[in-house]
Amino acid sequence: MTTDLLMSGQFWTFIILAVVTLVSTYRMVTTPLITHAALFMALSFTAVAGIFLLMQAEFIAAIQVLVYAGAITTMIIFAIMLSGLRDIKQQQKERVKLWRSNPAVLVVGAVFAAFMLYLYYAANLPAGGGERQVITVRAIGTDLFTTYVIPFEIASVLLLIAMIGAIILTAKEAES
Amino acid sequence: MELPIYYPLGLGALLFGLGLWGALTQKNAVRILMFIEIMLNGVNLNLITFSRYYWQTNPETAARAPILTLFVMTVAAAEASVGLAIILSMVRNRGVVEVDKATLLKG
Amino acid sequence: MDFFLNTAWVIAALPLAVSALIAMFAGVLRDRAWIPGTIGMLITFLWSVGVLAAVIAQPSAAGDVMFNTVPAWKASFHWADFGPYEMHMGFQVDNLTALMLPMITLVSFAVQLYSSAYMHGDKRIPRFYSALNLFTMGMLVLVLADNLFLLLVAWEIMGLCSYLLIGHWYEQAWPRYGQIKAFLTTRVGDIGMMVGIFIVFFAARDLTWAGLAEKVPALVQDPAMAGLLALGAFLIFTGAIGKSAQFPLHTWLPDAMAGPTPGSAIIHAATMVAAGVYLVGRAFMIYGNVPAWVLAVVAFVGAFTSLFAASIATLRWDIKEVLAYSTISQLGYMIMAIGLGGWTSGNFHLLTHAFFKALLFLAAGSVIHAHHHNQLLHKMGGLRKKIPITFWTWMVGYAALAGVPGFSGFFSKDGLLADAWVWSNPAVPAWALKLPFIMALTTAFLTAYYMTRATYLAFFGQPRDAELYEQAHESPRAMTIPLVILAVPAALFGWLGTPLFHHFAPSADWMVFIQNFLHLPGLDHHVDFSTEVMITGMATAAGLLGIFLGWYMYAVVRPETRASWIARLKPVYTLIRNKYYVDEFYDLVAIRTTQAVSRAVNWFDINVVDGLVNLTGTISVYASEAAAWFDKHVVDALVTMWADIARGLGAFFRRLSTGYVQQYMFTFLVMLVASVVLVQVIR
Repeated sequence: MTTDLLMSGQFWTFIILAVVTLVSTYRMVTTPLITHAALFMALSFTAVAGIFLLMQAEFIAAIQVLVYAGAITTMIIFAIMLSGLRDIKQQQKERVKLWRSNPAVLVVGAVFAAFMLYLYYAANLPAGGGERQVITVRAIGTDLFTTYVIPFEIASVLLLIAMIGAIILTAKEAES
Repeated sequence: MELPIYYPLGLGALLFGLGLWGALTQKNAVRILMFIEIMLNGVNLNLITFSRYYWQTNPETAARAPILTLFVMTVAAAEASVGLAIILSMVRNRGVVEVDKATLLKG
Repeated sequence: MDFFLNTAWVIAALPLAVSALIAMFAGVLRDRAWIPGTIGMLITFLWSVGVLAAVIAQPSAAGDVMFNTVPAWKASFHWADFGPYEMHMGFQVDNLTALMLPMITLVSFAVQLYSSAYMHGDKRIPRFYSALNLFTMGMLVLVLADNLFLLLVAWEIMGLCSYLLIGHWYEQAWPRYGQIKAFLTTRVGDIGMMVGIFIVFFAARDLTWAGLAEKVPALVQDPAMAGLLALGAFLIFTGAIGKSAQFPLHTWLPDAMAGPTPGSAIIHAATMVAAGVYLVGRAFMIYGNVPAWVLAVVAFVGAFTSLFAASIATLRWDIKEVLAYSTISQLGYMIMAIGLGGWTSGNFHLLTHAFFKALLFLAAGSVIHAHHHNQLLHKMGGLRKKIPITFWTWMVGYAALAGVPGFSGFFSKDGLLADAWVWSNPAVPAWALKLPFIMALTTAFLTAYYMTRATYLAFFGQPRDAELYEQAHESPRAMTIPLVILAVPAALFGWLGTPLFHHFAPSADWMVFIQNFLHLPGLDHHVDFSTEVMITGMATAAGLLGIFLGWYMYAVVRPETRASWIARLKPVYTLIRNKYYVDEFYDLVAIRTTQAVSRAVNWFDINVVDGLVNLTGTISVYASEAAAWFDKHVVDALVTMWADIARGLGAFFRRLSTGYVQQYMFTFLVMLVASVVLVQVIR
């Protein structure tokens, strides 16, 4: 690790965001209240959005905030509120024991992460330097509606089907 | 000096590992759904990293870099909505939210 | 002028568009469906006149009309490849087409205007107009087609529209019967026609008129090929027999009168039935070149049909049926003329007949309308004072059909009688050469007779049904205007066939056009003046005799006397009254025979086939019982053994399936990591 790197603001910003991400994700596992878990998830998403900004993917960062930190978190919290899951959870107050949870799982998770890191390292990735292009929303939109128009349409149909499915799954129950 | 590519990649791997751990240990279906989102987020981080380091330097491919991430997000949103709907109907019908109490698949 | 020629396709496209428009907005248009119909058809008519004018302006380019080598305008596209053979689709306009187009569109326009009043209050007016326009489109495509195949397509479109229009009032039994009969009877001819087209394609490898005109003369040098083409030409003629209602496939046309009268006027009088004549005339490059027996068959079928149908028409009591048989008879004339090689007079008669027959049908419709939908002649009488416009226009049509000198039918009939007089055909023995002439002359006499009879019964004498007579009223203007429109060409069109105009304007473009049309270079039957006068004299005499006899029989002779004459001629009267029992013959041959054969086959089925089947069944039963024992004690034991093994394995492995989704996920993850590690290790 060179001094250069240690002096750059980019590095420290990254480290701070990474720590926030990892800690909030860890707290998602350990917190007893499911609403807290959802809020920690939102924090984790927002931190990742910050990393996206650092990666100069401004559009993706915006989408991350909108979709993950905004929509999905809101949806999960709404689901918790509406279905009374909160009450169910509060009845069983037992705190999730970190070390009591299945150790094999922790091993596998750790092994997986370590393995991925090893893979990246062993692949001896090229430096990937050079002038970076600015990705405008216009360029993304143009590509999305020309080259990738078929995947785009399929994705829209998928969303439509998901919406219909969700409505049917919940509405049917509401009738009875 | 620029941030080496291993840092964001490593963060993505750790995020994925944490999500995996959570998804496998938690009993509450909503939490499992949340951890699945976390795992997908780790994957997205990887995609963005690679596109930033290798695609964004090429003017021809630059604009295409984030598109796969967009599609992953679309699928994630769809999955979350359907998953939540299933959980809601499960809670209404059977009064449980724990996945180990829903064992209809038992042979 | 060339603008119209180059956009001649509009003539076919516009009625199609109007038809689709009416069909689409049927619910909105309802009773107003006649508005787009008539406006569209008026534009189409004007366009057709433009095309005719453009063709007249360049008569030299139209070339040899009969063999149709140089159309004035032509547009085609490459349609399909059949192996090494290319097929083209397209339109062309030549002299014959250019003359047909205004006729079709004018008649169609008159009919549509007329129907606006005639069909008033009907439940299915949009359907009627849509079918009428589609039908007109079919006929226009048929005359514009530059190949046999497209002609067949248009031909079948018209068959469909004919079916729809005859069955317009499908709640009643007769229209249903008539539509099915028309469709199936013409289909019999169409099958022959299709096979004929296949043969022609097989022989010439081409279906375009230009291509056939080029190839057929060379092909017939080979006797075998000439025989094949003659067979093809004959089979194509069977299509014309069906469509133009020639003997023996004429029976559908009288029953086609079950449809609304305007529909009958355009389809079963003026245009569609003329398609068969047009086909034979258009395909004359085949008929004119193949062995002569084909044309002899055409001529005799036509001549016989004309006489046959005219004799039936003399005893019909339904005014529309008289006209229907008259149509068959006149179509026979045209077919005969073309078979005699009188291409011009055949087609000329087609044009004049279309005008006056459409006029007669519409006038008959007007009479029926005035008479509260009574079609029977013996309830009419004395109507001329009640419905003067209908009467006078009817009289124009009557004069034209009966061959009164000066009216259009007189000239065209004269032309084809002259052709019959000078006929020569190597395939026909000398004694038979004058037969068509005699038949045609007799037909002219009979035509004049039955038309006089119908006219007298309807318009003159005393009213036979006082109540109906009192209520009779002149039709609204929407019906009388088309009658007047059609009466003009019905009266005057024939004059174009006379040499009269030639003296006034010998070099005018349109005169050259008509001369080109009338005096074909390759086939000019030269009839000298004295013969011409003699034939005209005979034809006029036959017509006048018929008129006189008709007048005498119904105006002078008292009904009781007539009845006694009929009693004396009982067998002949019964035979003709029953239309020579052709329908009964078909009933016997086609229906009873089929039923008898079916019964025989049924008996055979029950007694022989079923017996065999039962025997086989009995044998099978015993064999099965033996096999069952074997199955139960040997095969089943083996099967059960495997099932037991599978059940044991299943009982063991089902423990793996816990139902905990997270366990499955975990297993999946372990497998994934293991496989990636494995791949890394192996590499």
